[in-house]
Amino acid sequence: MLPAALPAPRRLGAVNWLGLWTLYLKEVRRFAKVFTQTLVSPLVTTLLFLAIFTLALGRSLQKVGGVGYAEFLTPGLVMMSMVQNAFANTSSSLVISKIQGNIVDILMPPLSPLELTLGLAGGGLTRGIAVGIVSTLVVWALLPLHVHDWFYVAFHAVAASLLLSMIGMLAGLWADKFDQMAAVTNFVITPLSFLSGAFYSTERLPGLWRAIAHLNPFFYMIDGFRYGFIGHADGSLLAGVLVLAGADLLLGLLLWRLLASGYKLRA
Amino acid sequence: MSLGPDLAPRRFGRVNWIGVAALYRRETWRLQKDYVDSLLGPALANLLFMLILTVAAAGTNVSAGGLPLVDFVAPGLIMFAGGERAFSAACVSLLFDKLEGMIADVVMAPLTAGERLAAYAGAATTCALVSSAVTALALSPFAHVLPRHPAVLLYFLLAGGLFLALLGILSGLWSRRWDHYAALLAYFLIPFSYLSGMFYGIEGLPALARRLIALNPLYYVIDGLRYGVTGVAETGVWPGALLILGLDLVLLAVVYRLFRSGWRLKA
Repeated sequence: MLPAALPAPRRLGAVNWLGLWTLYLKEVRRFAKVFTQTLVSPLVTTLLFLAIFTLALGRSLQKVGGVGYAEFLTPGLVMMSMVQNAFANTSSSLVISKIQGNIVDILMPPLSPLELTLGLAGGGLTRGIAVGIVSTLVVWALLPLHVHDWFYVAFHAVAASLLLSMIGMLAGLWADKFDQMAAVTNFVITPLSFLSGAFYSTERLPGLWRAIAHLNPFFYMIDGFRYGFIGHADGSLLAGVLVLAGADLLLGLLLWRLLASGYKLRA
Repeated sequence: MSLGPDLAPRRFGRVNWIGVAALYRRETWRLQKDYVDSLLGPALANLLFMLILTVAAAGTNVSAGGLPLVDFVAPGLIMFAGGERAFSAACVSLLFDKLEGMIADVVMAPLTAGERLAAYAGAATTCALVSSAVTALALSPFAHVLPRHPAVLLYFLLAGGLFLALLGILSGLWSRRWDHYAALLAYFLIPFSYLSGMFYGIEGLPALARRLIALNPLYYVIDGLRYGVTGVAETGVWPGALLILGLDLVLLAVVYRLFRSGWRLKA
């Protein structure tokens, strides 16, 4: 005999808004809970780098990109911190879930591959932006910072955090062990972000090296973001916007297809 | 009924040499197994630091403490690579064993507190020496790393490595969660190392900054190491050498007492 009032299954529209919002909140709460590690610790690193490089070089370098060295350095350091944290959020979330087995908690609910992509990437994006806002505000209290063009600040902050958040997802899908994740961080993310022109103007580099530096996607993130603050760019701003927007779009599509195929998630 | 000669309990002399050697081997094994992330990763990061400084300072005559900037910075990076490895090796091993319950294998083994101390501190100091050597090799194309005074260099590498190894053991005993380890790295070890005058000479710094740096024992280790490599030091080498020896002895005594009492090891 059936119970009289069996609850009817939930009806979902074209988009499972509630599910998407829940997944996003889970990703945000995951880093917000340990904010000393995910927000304060990157801030300390940024301040340390700022202190070291200003003390080591600031007294000898007159002007870089038309401004003092500390002012040149700050946007690059903030951007580095944002993208490294966006990457760390999604990659660690996926790898830990896979290893601990609680990945089924996001695979079983009625979430489409597109909703999964958006929810996870949104979490990383939020962490990147949060780190960026916290770091900028604290540095602002110590140094005079001027914003030359809000559009470039906002666009590069969002596009770059989103890009690294999605690269983190890709790495998190691929990696089966923590070692592999550490290797991606050590040998791909750190070198690309260190050699991005955050610490020096790429105009200092000899011809061939400058061309190579301009192939680094991290260069465009930092160059455009810094233009938003200091009003001086080493490379082409339009190219930067197109590279970032194009890369975000392509990577989003790739992840959507990978999640739809169940790559490394559904055995 | 006799158990036969083979089954009699093992007899120890004054020191359980086999036990010490086994624990030492176990503690250095992780470095061999995980050398990509624990040796090559940090060496690459230090190499990147060097490249950035070289490019950022190119064309100017940035110098520190009477040396070209790269030669000034290299000994600090070599020390940092070793010290960070010694600290992490000791801390991670103890914390991991405590969390996984494997610490019983060490606590139950017929090892005295002194033997345990020797094996843990010896293994972590070995890791420091290996990591320093790998980083020195990575930096050798860019900076002067061939020692002028090899004995001084070796002394400071050993004494400085032991200092951080003992701090690592202390931290590993104290920590109860991974958060504690992450916090120690971000808020203690990295600021403590980076603000040790590793990247800039202290002349010309504000008085307060000079006084703070002069309170940091790592400043004397790095300065002594720099004397060993380049023959130039900012302070006297002997006071630094004695200071670090004294700190090592105090820490050895503290950690010995803690191992003996079973602090945070035997509930």
